Amino acid sequence: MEEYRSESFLQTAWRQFRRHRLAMVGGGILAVLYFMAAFAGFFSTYDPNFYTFTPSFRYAPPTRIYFRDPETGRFTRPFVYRVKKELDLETFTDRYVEDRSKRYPIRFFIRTPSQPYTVFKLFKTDWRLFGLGEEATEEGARLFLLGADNFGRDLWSRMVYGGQVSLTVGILSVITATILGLLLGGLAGYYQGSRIGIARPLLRPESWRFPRDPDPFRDAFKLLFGVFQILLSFAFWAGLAALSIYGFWLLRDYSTPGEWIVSGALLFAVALWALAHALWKPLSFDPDDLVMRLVEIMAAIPYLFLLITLRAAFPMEMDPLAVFYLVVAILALVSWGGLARVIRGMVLSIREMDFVTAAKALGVPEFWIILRHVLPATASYVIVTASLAIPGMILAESGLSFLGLGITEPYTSWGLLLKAAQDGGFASFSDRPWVLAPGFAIFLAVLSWNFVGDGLRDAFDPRKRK
Amino acid sequence: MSAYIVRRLIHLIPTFLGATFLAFMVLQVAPGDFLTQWELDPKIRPETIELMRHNFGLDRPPLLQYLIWLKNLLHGDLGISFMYQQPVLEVIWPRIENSLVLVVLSVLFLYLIGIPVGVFQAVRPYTLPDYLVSFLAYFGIAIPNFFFMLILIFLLVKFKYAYGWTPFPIGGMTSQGFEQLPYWRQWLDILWHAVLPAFVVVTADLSGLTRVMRAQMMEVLGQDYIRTARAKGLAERVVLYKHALRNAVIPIIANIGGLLPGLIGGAGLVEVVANWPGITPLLLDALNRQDLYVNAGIIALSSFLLILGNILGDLLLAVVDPRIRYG
Repeated sequence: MEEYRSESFLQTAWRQFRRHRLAMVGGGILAVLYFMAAFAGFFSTYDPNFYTFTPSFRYAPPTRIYFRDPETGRFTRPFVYRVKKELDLETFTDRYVEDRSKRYPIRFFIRTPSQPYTVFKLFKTDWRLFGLGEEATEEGARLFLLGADNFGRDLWSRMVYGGQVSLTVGILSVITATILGLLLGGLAGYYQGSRIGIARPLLRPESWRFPRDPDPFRDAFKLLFGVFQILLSFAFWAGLAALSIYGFWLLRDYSTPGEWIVSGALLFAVALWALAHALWKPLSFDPDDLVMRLVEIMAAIPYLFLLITLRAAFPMEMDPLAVFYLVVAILALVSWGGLARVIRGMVLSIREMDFVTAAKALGVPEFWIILRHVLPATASYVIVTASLAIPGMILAESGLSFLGLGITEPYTSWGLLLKAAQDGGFASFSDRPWVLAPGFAIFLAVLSWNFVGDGLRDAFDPRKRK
Repeated sequence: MSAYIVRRLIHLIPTFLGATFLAFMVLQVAPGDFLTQWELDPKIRPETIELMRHNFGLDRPPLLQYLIWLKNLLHGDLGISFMYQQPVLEVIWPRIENSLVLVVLSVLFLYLIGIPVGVFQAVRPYTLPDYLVSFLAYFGIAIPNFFFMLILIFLLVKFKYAYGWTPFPIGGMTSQGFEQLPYWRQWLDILWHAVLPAFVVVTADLSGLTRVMRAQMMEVLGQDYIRTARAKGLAERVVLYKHALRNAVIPIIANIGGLLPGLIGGAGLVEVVANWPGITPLLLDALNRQDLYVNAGIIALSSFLLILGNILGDLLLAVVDPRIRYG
């Protein structure tokens, strides 16, 4: 007799996900990338901001690693030679020449006490996976896997550290955008059609009556809310008056008499209309209208233009960490709209379902219905959309940094490294192709996230189950 | 139908006002203005700067600046560029034209390559060529377009070192001696320069489109009426192109309106890398210099194009799919 085993929703999805070969490959690559980013200090050979003026390694090429002894031709322990900068007297450019007097073997699991690093901002350590060791660094030998930048900083180490920024920006901004989209889309969908009063008409007697409730806590709350609405009415009134006076004052100062009369009359009419409204009619709005118009307005500005304009609203010279959070915030702000729109549509149909009616009948508070009953029903869609949005965010961050509007020094990201590669003109990367390596890192991360996203989509889609 | 168009056009107005208002306020939030860069210059007296600020209208409250800008916009006047000392429209329009060359060419690439490739895959699913194209599509989605352009330029430079000439120009929009060429040769020259950037711009969308096209075509080919058509003894060519393709292509047409405006902004980074004098480099420059009315003008025009593109896409959909009726 075969034993019947029930499977939870997530178990089914996981089983399906494991069958998706590309998604598993992508997940594996991502695990490696994120592991390297988390322990960037361990995988980098030098501190990302370590450089010396004497000897200088400006634009040094990748160090050649010898696996064979150049004299005997036999396999030996991998080693490198020290390189020295020389001026090429024909072209007057720098040239790096090997000094073959001493070999520097590549050592594994070394300690570099002069270049310590911290893991997760907690543990201070100086273990590194590989490198030449402190003495070799003292003697002017370097192991540049991907060459050095314009300061002579090791590009491999910078790339490993750049991954920390590039990979986390994607996730952080997607999380922020998803929370925003869920919250606003959920509210818009759930309250679509209901009018939320923000101000009570002051001349209506019913505005001054407050609903009573047997529960003392709720009674107090309703009273407070009513008072708040009346206060809001006053604030609305005062604001309107202030705005009108301000408008008249502006018009007096800045326009010709002809314009003054026309726009003054217009302003007066608007003020009168709002006044009448505020006195006799309740001021209310449909939250769905508010959110969806906002989404529409933001979607009407091309994505890239909105991105760079928002960045330009803040000063260019800012604290580098603040810039990092700013980039996350901007990316989230620009991209929550699409998700909110779809969530709203789903919530519109979910709120009509029986389990929501049941929850209402049981007296569950509304925010709890939204949070616990309505939004979880969109979970599989949200998970898939979020995972498919991460690569887009990584691309957007790299683009922004590439334009010099994103991450700033001393932090680095893959986009910023590519900007450095391109800054010297076409010649800088045609002579030094290794500076393009961070681009392949972006490519790998984005590709893997796409694989994982596709796998998740298939895993959560009942129609694609085998 | 015409009622629908009118309704959509009326609906366009508040969205457009909102978008320009939002953009204008964001631009005003930025610290300083166009004249800030001269405030530290000891050769210019502070009074002069104040006077200029007054003449440019930059000392007015932001809300009033917006209203005046809007009033002038309704008269077709986008203001004056501080950088170029020229009307904004004269500064922006040539750049928009340049960007449109790229966009139009890339849309052509998109449909001329994407649809046949998708059909090609769908008629031989789960074979080696199908997998190969699918893999290339993943490649196209994952590569950052500015990085792709960098690689192409790198390859072109290497090619030039090796053979002394290049199949495509390395960056820029025109060759040397462009002014002396006859008119049609000028167009050819621009197109020749545009081929690579336009292709790079469209790689991601192209990959997406081939995937959608493949899925659509495969779904349609599994329908009963296709079996009927085959059973009737119709030629496979007729079945594919007359019965299947026409139905499969509908959602792709639906996408066209969404794609066009996306490409206007999306050409951006490629324009920067390929040195194409399009709209994004201008916007970056103007944002950097805080040339307020150029920025506002670019965003206003591009969002107008974007909204228009969306409407156009919806209308096109109604033309292609007779099942869709707009009341």
